[in-house]
Amino acid sequence: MVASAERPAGGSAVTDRRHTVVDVDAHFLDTSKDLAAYMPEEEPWTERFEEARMDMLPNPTPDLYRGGRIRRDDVGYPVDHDDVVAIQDHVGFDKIVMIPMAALLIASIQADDRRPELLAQGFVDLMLDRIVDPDAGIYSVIPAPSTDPGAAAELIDEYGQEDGIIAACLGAEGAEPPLGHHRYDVIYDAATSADLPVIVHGGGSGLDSFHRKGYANWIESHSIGFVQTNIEQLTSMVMQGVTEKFPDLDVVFEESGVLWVGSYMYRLDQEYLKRQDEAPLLDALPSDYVRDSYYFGTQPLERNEDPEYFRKAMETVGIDRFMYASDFPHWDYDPPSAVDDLGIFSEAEKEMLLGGTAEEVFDV
Amino acid sequence: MTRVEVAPATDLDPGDRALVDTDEHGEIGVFNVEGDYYAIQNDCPHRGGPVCEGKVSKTLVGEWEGVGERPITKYGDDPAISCPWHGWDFNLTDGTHVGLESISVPTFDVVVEDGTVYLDL
Repeated sequence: MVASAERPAGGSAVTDRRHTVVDVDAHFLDTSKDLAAYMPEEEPWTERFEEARMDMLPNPTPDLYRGGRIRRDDVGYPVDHDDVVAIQDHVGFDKIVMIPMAALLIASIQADDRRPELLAQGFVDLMLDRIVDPDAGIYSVIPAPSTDPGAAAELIDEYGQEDGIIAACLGAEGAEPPLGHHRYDVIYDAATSADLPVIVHGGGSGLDSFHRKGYANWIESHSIGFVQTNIEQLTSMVMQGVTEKFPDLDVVFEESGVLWVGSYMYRLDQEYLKRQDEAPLLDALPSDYVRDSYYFGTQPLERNEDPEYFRKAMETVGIDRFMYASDFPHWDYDPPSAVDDLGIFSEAEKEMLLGGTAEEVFDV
Repeated sequence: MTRVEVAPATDLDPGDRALVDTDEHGEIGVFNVEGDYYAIQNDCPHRGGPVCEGKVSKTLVGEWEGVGERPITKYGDDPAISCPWHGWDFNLTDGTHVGLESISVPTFDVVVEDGTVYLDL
């Protein structure tokens, strides 16, 4: 494994053993060489990935660890089944959904070639071969390349019924036009047919590849990037009536925290009332669609500066619209205890947040 | 019921509108849209804008023909008016906001008797 998933006993409590914990956003580090082993031999890109002297996945330019000032020796990317089990045991994930880093990066590939679909297919085959194990509570997703919706739909058709594959996943960063565009209908149609929800995972950090150039440091791009990209995609999907077109589709936005959702959905409402003909498929307020068809992973949970405000901000969306997500093994991951630490939920709500809602939405 | 005279019908041709001051409901706009009469209060529930001064057209409604097709906006059957301040659209037949039926502008009955247009309040 890349780094140890083990942690010395006696560390601060991160687990929550009183509730079933489903982590809907843990990450798996897939390299292009790893994935090449699962790509078709007759595909020229396969040997390019195999022979590459540098990893050929797109890569932002983050300084995650502040020049070594942040150290997380206790966490590391899993690379095999035993690693994932060790992580589950260590952090207390009864069930874990492994999201590939590739899924978040392939949307940034803008060249007109087959890399996105090959990387996505390679990832699913790798996960099914080496990692996914529903009996052990280990699940994964189909990274759906937004750059090629037809190929994405074919992947969903091919792998959507595999045991342990529980969603299609789109990277929010790089998906242009935004995800409400009708070119993505085939993805949502395939996901609906496979009875899979769609995960939209926020992105956008680093500096040189960020949408807006010139931020001084990572503190700025990392503060805004994941929220910005999710806001962009939520706006497009809600306003273009994805729910009206695919009423059975659940969409789960991940890695942008919780407090923005309520305020932003009301912003969509006030815009809608002034220009409703520009969202012609909607029959209700945008906030009604958010409350009915969209879910939100909790990580990174904001600081609870004002318990009354925090709770109200979640209630206005619906506490049942949020589901615990860790972002493990990234340095700023939220352990399950972060939910309880907020100090604002009943036992029944914690049960729902930590696992109940995810079990229902992802059928795990 | 109070009956308020608006105008001779000959002064309110299709496409015309008239504003009438009333004691009970303030200013009311009366519209002749393709030969049918409508009346709504000239007070937008959003910010109090002069909704009756807005553009009259048809409602705009969406249609989607299937997977991969671009949603299109087309004209619906009902007449609508747009508040000129912020674009809130109201269905002239019942005063409801085109995007949200729970928001509405009061509407009133219009009658034509002996060549004169009246409001029944």
